[in-house]
Amino acid sequence: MSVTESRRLAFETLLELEKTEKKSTELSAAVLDKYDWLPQRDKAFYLRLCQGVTERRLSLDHIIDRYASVKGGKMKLPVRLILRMGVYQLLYMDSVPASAACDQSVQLAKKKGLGGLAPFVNGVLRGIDRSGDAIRRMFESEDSMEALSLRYSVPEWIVELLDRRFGKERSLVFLRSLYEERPVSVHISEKADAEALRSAWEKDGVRVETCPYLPQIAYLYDVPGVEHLYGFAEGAFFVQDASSLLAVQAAGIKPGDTVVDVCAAPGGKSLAAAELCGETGKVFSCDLTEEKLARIKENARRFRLDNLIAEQRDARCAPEEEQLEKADVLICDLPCSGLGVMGRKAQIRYRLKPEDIPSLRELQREILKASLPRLKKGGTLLYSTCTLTKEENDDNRNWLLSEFPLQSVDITERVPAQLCRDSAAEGYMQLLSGFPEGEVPLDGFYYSVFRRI
Amino acid sequence: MAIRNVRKQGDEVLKTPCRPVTKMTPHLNELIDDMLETMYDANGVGLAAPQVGVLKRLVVIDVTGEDPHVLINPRILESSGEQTGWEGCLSVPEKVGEVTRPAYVRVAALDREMKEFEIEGTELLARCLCHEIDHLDGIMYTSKVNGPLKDVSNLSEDEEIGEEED
Repeated sequence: MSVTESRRLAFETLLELEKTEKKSTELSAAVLDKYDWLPQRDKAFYLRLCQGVTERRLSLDHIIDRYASVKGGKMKLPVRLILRMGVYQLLYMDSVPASAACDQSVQLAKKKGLGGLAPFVNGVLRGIDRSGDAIRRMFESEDSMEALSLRYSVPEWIVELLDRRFGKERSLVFLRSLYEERPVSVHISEKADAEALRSAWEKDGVRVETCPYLPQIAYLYDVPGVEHLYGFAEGAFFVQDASSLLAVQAAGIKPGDTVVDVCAAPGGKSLAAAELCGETGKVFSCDLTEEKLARIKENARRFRLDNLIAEQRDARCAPEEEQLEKADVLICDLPCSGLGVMGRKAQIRYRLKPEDIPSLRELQREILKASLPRLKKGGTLLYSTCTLTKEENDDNRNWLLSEFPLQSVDITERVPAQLCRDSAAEGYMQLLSGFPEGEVPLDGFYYSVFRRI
Repeated sequence: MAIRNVRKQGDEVLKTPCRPVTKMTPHLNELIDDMLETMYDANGVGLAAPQVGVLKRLVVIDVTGEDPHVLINPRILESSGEQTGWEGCLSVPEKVGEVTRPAYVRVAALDREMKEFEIEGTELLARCLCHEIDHLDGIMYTSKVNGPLKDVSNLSEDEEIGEEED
């Protein structure tokens, strides 16, 4: 007889993630889709292990390198993965007894043809278990950049960047927010019966909270998968973070407006814009690849939005003659370093390198420059990113103001009072998850609004 | 010791009831070692002799990876309760199905010295005992599944990662 074990499945998922550019959440969702029949307990364990080992990689490797006699670089990937999984269970999963964490790791090594290394795996894990209290104490320190980096498993250069930009207190709240329970944020369509949705979801064991700033946004806790939720197939809601809707609202879209969204996939901002401009308006949702476009079309089809037109085009290319000066509102939500969403996307912090940031800034400038001619005189530009760096946000805002006939728009009235900062009067907002003081689970997000003159 | 070829569903040998073992021989001893090795190699938790083409009432089981059991001429003395869960079979690769089994079983068998012993099992061990003893009567779990079989082929293509290091 054979059995399917969640640890083995997690190992295979983590190995696949190391070998490809796939996103951890997408891959684990695909695996769980395939192994839909696994007991809920096994699925939860699998997800926690994949997610935890991915996001805590830096802390785990630090401990492994300290307790393993093999120099880090020499350790082969499968062994390192088995150790990371074992250490994660030892240090971060109270529900797993230490003996099980060690024994199961040894078994996994044997099953993966690494039987010769079973004593090594056993020795390293037992050693770490014996020093568990000392390691936990070490991870409690927040005294230096290095200590913060270890405690929150975030590369030191990112901790320093946060500190420079937001100061110690705000960056600490942000770092803590990385490991807080994160609900699924959904935007309920104005055509849907919000009360009926809410009671159907609650009947399925989902906890529902309404965003205090945006009545359309609901936070869902303990969701088995949004596509299984009541109302999904009928287009009653779509997944959207509050920060993304806040940005769209700041653009001041009016009924009848023509909106162009230059990097639209998966289409959340376009859908919100289509609601705002109504049947007399139009949204042109553009993106680079057929695949991305398919996601937008799929969403538009579900929502039966006839005023949304999906266009495949490269945002770096100059627009066609007939596309010039047609947009009342131009949405440029551009590819970025993604540091604002690193709590949800665990791999970002490890894949990103400091030298990527200037090149992302250049890419953003290239797209902005190519897209601006689509905006009517007097029309509105929304420039947004889901990141936190000065280069991609403030620097680009200043560049736009100095290089193009643009002026900033006072968006104070379009930002919910509780969130509003002085910067809104100058047309921009930098949101940070964990703020305001963890009241609302927002993504870290930047948006700025301009008028073409 | 050697890894033996595991017969796949469709093979007549898996549909044929097995004969009891009458005495221990060096040949049989070697078969037991090979079956254990074959089971571990295939990441199984149990293997019955007909799965390696031998029509003898003999199974090996290890549900934890460090607790091997050899059962010769096993018979279920007592069973109670019910559990429904997923199981797979080394003779039906990359598939699993949901099967209802007893929650508890008590089994009598002979060990490698042909001495009688008893073993009790709950949860996975109970399921595995039933699954393997069924093989000795030519019964596959696929005849007992609730609903369809599910596909569980490997996530990553290369399973050959077993490189040793010093």
